[in-house]
Amino acid sequence: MAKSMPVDDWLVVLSQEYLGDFIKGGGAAVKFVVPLEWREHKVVLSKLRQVAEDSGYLFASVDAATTKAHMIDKIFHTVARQVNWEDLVCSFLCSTLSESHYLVPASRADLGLSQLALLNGLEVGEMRRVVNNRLRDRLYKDYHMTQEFRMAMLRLCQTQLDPQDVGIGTAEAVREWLRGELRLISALKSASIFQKIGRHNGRHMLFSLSHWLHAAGKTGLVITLDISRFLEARRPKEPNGTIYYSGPGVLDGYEVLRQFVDGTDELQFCLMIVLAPPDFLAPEADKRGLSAYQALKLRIWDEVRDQQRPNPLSSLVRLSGQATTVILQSTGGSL
Amino acid sequence: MKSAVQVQSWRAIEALRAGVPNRDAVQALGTSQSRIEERFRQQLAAARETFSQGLATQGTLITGGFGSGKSHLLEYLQHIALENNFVCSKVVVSKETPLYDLAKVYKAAVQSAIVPDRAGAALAAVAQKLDFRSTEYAEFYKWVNRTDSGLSTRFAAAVFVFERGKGDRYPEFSHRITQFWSGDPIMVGELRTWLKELGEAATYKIDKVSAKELASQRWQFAPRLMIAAGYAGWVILVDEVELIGRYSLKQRAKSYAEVARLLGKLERGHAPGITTVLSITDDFESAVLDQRNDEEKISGRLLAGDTDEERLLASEAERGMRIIRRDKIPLEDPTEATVHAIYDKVRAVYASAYDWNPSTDYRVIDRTLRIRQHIKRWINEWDLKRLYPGYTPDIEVAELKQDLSEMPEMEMTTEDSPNENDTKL
Repeated sequence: MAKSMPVDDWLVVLSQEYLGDFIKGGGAAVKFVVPLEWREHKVVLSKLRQVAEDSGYLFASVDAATTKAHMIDKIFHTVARQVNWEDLVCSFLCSTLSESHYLVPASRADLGLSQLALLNGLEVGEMRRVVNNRLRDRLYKDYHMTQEFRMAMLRLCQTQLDPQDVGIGTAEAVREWLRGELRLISALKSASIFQKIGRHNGRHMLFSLSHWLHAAGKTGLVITLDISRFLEARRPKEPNGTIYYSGPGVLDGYEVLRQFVDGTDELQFCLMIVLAPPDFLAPEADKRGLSAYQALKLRIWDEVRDQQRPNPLSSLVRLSGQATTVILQSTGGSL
Repeated sequence: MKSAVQVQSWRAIEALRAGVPNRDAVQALGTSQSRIEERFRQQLAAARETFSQGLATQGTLITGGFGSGKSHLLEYLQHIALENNFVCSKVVVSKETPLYDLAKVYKAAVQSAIVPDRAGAALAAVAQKLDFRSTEYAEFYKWVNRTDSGLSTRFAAAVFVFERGKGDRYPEFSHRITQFWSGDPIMVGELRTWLKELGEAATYKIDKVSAKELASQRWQFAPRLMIAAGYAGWVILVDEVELIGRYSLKQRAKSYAEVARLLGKLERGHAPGITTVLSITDDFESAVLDQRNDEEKISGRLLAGDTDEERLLASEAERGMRIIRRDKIPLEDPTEATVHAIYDKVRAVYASAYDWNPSTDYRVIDRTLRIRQHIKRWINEWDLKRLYPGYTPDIEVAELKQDLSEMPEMEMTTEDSPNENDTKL
């Protein structure tokens, strides 16, 4: 029988080893966490948010009851709705100009091309040339992000600097596109974006976002994905406005997670925590638990484990509500 | 803050801890499968040779137990393919990518493709590298416009529009066209409008073609496009082929035929310029071919059908099953020395990742363990010793069994995942 560990013990390890070190340095990981008591989900979520935000990460939570978690594009849109795009753009612009020794205004309202030119004693045309060169080098040529994502961020940056130049509504159309709310893609033709975010590019959009967050001054991205709803077979008689999953839908959801596990190679500055209820670990016969989708089970199951003590670094961790039992050794190096 | 090397080491350990090989782990550990590596290098050389003769290249089917290192080896082969200027895709057979669906496998292969020295969407990157004045492109252009190329005229029309619209002149056209090559439908009306705009509407008569045929034609088109752009060809690595066992009989039959086709063993649908390596677990033969008596059942069911198509499928499926029975290459079992060498390498990577030195004292605990189990065992032990100094771990290893029984849910699509083959063109 696999052992569980206290939530706080696990959070200490997560905070020290992953958030404070590995993810911050450009790593990526996907962890599956099973709080053995139902009520602990909220506790774990709130504690995760706190440690993530304390370390400078953007924290985004996705609940399979309100987001179609078997579709990667829907996951991306939910995360995108939790991002303050304007703040990131301003932060990126300021750091990009500062590192080239240009002065930047203290207030976001003053972060426009003419104010920048005035502040740095340049003609507006010259300032525009400087800014365009910096955006080309630091954003357009940063191939860790997909071309569409780069074009989108470029338009947001240009709108911040010179809203008249970009065209009315383009920035809002970009934000709607990111959030999955854009009705007609033709609104983004001028931004060289020709397709909506879908299953084929949603994963790469998410990978681009975590890289962009880092480039814009955040430490990275922490996403929690609560998949409790995958395990609920019974729909209420009266629809309650939330999402329920068919058997094949659950398998699609597990396939999305399998792809995340296999895709950590391409991911940077990102930690994904999948929260699942105890039924997730139910035995073979269960049609909705982890055993229903072997491709995922074979990747995360802890078939090699210590008989007494759970490994907090495992892909799959069972959490209990017990008080902290041990004081962990700080890791070597920078901690 | 960790250095780049430390993060790379940590990435490798993180992957090995989970038993999922990644680029960093492969780079750190290399491979001990020298026989298959050598064969693969010869396969790459043959792929260049056979392309010029318009022939298919024979692929390789590797086999080994769960956790014996098949995925690790494929990852390593990808590295060799890219070094040799091949575009390389790694496809994992899954619910989203069923082996019996030609179009979905193609899309997955395109989406996962890595292009040497280029980032971003593979076919867009390949297309950007086309030199319209090169001999390779001239050959390609000639082929795509030939009446006996076997392609729908929309490919030739799309190539023409792409060439004329190259650069920023028609960015939207270029985008749509590379999406079409990547597996998306193209609106014929739109294509006609572009041709008209370029004054060539009369030259290209757009024919009717089914989505299924288009999917098959893309397999012919894509490797030639890659070669026209200066690459050596397209390597496709297909992992977890044993998932065939979870399909119904009819879909298993189609999948066996696909195995034969991908390995270049069929006359129909072979694609010069593509070469493949497939991996399958070693229990597939007994759990599926023997226990379910697939050879007899599939032939019996399909040969009893009325159509030529069924009879052809029966013969192609039989070919695929025969390959799985007779032509697979087993991974070499690791020797004691190999396991020891892997221990030393993993130990060094762990030390680099965590600034913490695991014991140099290598001990063989259980000779029956698979490589995956050995590695997970070492890392688990080191993790616990590092985090809880003074603690003596007591690691147990359970057997993780794969279930290859039929699972109808694997073939069901949800309301949110329409079948691309149903798309009207």
